[in-house]
Amino acid sequence: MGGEVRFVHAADLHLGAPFKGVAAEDERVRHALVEAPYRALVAIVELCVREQVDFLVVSGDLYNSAERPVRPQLALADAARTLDEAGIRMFVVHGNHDPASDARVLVGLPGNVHVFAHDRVERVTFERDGEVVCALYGRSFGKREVKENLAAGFAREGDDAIAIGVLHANVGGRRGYDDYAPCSLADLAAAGMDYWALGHVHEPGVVSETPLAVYAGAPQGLDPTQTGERGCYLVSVEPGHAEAAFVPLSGVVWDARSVDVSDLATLDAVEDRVLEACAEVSRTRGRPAIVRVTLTGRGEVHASLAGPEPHTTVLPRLRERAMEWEPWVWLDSLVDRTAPAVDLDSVRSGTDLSSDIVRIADELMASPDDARRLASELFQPLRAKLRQANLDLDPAADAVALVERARDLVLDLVLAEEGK
Amino acid sequence: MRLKRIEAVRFGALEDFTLDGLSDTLTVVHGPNEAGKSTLIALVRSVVYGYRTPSHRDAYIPASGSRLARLIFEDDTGRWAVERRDGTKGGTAVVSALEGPDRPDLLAEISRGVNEEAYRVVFGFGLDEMAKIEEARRDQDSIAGALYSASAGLRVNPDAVRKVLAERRDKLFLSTGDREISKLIKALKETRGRIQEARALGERYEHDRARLGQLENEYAQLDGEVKEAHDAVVRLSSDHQQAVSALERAQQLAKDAENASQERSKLVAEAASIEVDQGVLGAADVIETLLHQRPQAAQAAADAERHRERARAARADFEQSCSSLGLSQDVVRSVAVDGPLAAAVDGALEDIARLESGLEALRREQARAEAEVERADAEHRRALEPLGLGESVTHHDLDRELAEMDAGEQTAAPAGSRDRLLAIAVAVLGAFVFFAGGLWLQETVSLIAGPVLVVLGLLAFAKDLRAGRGAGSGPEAARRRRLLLDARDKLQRYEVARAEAERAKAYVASAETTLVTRREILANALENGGLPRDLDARAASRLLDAIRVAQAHDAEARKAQDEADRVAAVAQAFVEEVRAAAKTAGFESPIDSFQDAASALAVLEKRLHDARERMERVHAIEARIKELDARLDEMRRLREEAEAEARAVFERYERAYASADGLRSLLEEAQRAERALVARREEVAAERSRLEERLRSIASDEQAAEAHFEEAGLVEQIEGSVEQYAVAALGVKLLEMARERYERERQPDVIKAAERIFRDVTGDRYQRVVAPLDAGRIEVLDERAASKDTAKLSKGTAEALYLALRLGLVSRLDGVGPGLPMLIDDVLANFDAERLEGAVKAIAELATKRQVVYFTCHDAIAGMLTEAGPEGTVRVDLPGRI
Repeated sequence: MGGEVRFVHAADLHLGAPFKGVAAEDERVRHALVEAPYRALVAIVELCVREQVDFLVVSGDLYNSAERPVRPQLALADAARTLDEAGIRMFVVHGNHDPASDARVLVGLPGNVHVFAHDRVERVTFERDGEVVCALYGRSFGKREVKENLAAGFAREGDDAIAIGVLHANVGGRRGYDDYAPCSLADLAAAGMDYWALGHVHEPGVVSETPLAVYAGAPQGLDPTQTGERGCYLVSVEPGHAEAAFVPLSGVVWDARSVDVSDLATLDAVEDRVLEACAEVSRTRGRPAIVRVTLTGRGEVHASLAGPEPHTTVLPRLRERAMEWEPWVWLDSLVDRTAPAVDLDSVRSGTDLSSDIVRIADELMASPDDARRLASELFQPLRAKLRQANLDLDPAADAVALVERARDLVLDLVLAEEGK
Repeated sequence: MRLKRIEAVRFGALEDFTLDGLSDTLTVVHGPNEAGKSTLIALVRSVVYGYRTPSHRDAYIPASGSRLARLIFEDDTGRWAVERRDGTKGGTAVVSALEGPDRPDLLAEISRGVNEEAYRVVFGFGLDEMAKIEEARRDQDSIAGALYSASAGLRVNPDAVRKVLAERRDKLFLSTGDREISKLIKALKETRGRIQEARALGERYEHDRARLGQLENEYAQLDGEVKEAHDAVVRLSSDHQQAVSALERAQQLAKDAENASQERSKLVAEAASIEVDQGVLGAADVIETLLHQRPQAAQAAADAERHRERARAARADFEQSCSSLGLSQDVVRSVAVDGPLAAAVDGALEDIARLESGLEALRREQARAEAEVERADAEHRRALEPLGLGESVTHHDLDRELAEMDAGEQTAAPAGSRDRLLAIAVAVLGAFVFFAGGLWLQETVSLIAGPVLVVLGLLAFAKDLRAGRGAGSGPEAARRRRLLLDARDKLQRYEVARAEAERAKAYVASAETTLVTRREILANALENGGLPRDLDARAASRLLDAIRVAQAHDAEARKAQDEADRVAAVAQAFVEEVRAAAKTAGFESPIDSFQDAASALAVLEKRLHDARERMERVHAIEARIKELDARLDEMRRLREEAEAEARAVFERYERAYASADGLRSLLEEAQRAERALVARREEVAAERSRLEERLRSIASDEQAAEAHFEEAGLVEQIEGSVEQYAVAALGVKLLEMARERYERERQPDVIKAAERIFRDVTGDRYQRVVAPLDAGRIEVLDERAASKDTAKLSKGTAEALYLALRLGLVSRLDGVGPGLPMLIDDVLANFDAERLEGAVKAIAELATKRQVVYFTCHDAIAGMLTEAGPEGTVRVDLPGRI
């Protein structure tokens, strides 16, 4: 055994995943989003062929769901065939989204694809010119919820010149992700691998330098929270040394911007500022982007933003203009988190109705339980309706914030009435 | 701010009406019914809030013209007129400063916090509006809210805000209604249904793929069967066509052979009937040659005749010429017209002509010289006449006389000169003496002698001059000299002319002699040529020309005759040859002339042509017969082949189908089978296509992707709407809580004020007024603490309560509607004396805080109010009905 291996490390393709949290009304955007995961897969394959790597490693969640629709299976089979034609092998583990036990194989994969077993850590060797160059250790998820520390079962065999671990797991209890196959950096270090090809966490990043453990991240962001560049890693490992370089691949980038409009007085000015923010996204990202803009600040324009115009007129106009750019930008939403331009302390100290409102709101915000109780009571019929529709939405979840916004809304209207 | 005057230019029944002098506190306006009290209250409301539309019950449209009214307000800083002109949307209010600064926003300031409805209920009211204060509260409409907010210092109506928020909330969700969120949830269910469908389609993928495989196999099998069936049909069709074609061909060949045989028989008979002239065919070559020569022979015969005719004509011309010349033919023929004679005649003709011409010129010169002599003679004679000389004088005589005159002149000239110089010297000396001696020296002698000497000198000079002009040098002498010179010249010319004339005469004589000699020479030549000698040159020349012509005619005649003889021989030879050919061909007619020969040859030509045509026809028939024989053999062979071909096809099939009809029925059967297979294959193909489309759709995931997007979009919208609903609902709740707190903590002030007034008005019969927070009604408690709602009160008591509520409320509205007076229209009419007193007292008390104008038609009430009113109370009595 000896020599260097070069491979591409990808994970969390989530083929067939529906995009969440986006109301893509434009056909171009919908099409781009639907195609984006598949294009990312094609881009990964092209990278492998272009770089003439030894193999491709995919660390779980190839499919978004256990039911594995047809198109994702066809896409993966096509990708594998292309790699096969280029003499590139493919090593795969299943993750929580596509556990091996639920596999519904509609389209067969070619012989260059190796899927690691789910009942044990499997060791597979990679040979070049009849000589073993490295060993890959991997274990798939057998079911969706794996609470077992799978990393603990990895152990390098003594004569491996290069050892690579392939695992779908939550290392170090990363928040925001299901705590499946939980393990620690120490577990990883103990296995003696030269490189850990990790999956499960969608943000790409290096978890550990020694041993080099990397989350490839999803090659394509799947919802508005998955902002920023996404792609895969181009890895080269030789005995005693490993390097990984991130290669951005996503066809569509998600982005979120916060725009302070406290100094603005008109919706036109807000529109211009939002447009500037979108233009900057287009400029800096250099590829189609979906952007959420949150308007912040306490100022004069708050009252105008509270009306229907921002959504009926401003947002469509902004979308239309930003979609004319190359690369285009889809303004997914324009969230108003501005506050009225009133001196709350001054209002609070008064003796009129406004002061009563502010003080009542203060009392509720100071007592979140009361606020939640009030909201729960108030929203009971709506909650029932939402539950009936299997919608996991609790309107009373952040009652304090709602009270604050309700207070601002009432003050807005009072101020508007006074302005008449 | 206080209302000081009300002016109605045109408003309802009021026209140019002014209610002036309103008090800052209480003004009691007393007037009879129909005096316009209600109209004035409406006027104030209209100026402040706008005119009602013309269709409204309270529009107060004047009998003529548009509505126009004015209010005059006043405070410590000035006076302002608020005028409202009629127009759309309530008309236009214009504020103009009568005194003090401009206050364009005056109207808003005056009415701040009080909308029109609140004004109608609380500030400007009559009996009709009394109960509305309770109804407003019960209905929780804007009046009550406005009053509460106004009393709380708010410039906005919380009910209006609440209404906006509630509408926003209810638009999003109502537990019993189909609002936005419910609609979105409904749409979401539908979308999820589609996702399920797409998922179900995915579930069928394997089944569909398997079915597709079956269909592919079935299609391939059917495709093979169709191909086989088609091949069978093609083969059968080909065989059937081949057999039918072979049979038809054999049939046609038999028919063609029959026709050819009949034709051959006819041709043989025709050939036997044709006779051919062998005789003429035997002489064919000779005849052909003669026919070839015939044009030349005909030409020779014609030429001979033409030459003969030319010879005859030339001979006639010769004879005619001889006759004209008067010479015999022999003489004419003998004259050598081109020899020496001709040269002599031609030379004489030229010479004589030249000589005659020269003679004529000399004769003309002679005549001219003689005429010159005559003219010169006349002139010299005329020149001699003035000299007095005769005709015999010669030029020597004249020269002598001239010489004499020249000598005389040369002697007289020097003496004359000397004398004239002397005379001049004497005259000059006399002048010197006169001037020097006489004038300068004053010598008298000199004075006399000087002029004498001058006169003597001058006289001598004159005399000398006269003497010089006489003798040989005078004018007469000069004239004669000129005449002499002229005569000598003329004489000399005459003599020269005479000598010229003599010389010309001599020349003429010489020329005449030469001409005569030349003519004699010609005469001798003619005589020697055999021609008369008396012919002049020209006549001789003409005769020679005529003889020359005659001789040419003679030569032409002989030449033409020779030519005629030569070509006639050629024609005759042709005639001989024709004759010989005719004899060979059996043509018996005599042939003596060229015409005979030509006729015979024409006959022979015709016979030869006919004979040849017949021979060609016979040959053509023979060739055709030969061709027909060959065709008959070929057709026989082909028919046998076709029959063999058909038999070969039939032999491939069973006996039952071994015929054209049998093959056709077999073919039709195969075609039916093929059609059935094709139809089945199409069915399979269609199902396969549908299945492929479905599989493609599943593979492309389009339906599911679209539905997922819709789901995501709907969930987003629902989340947004839920959030908006939550905020709006909480906003409503906050408002309600705030109002509740207000009513709980602050309303008692108003109620307490009203309660006190009500107690005073009712003479303590009613102790308390209660307005429960959660109810729209108002209750009163009597002295026994028994609770009564307004429906159970007497009309007077209820009205007293309503008035107390208004007075209590207005008493608390310090900064609300600061410029609005209370305009009360006779609301005390139903009060008994006791309540009246209390009410008057309460109104009077309120008037200390807010301007009150009370309209009444009851003099007693007016009196009570005027009396009870605070300082500054004014009573105005209206004149009468309007």
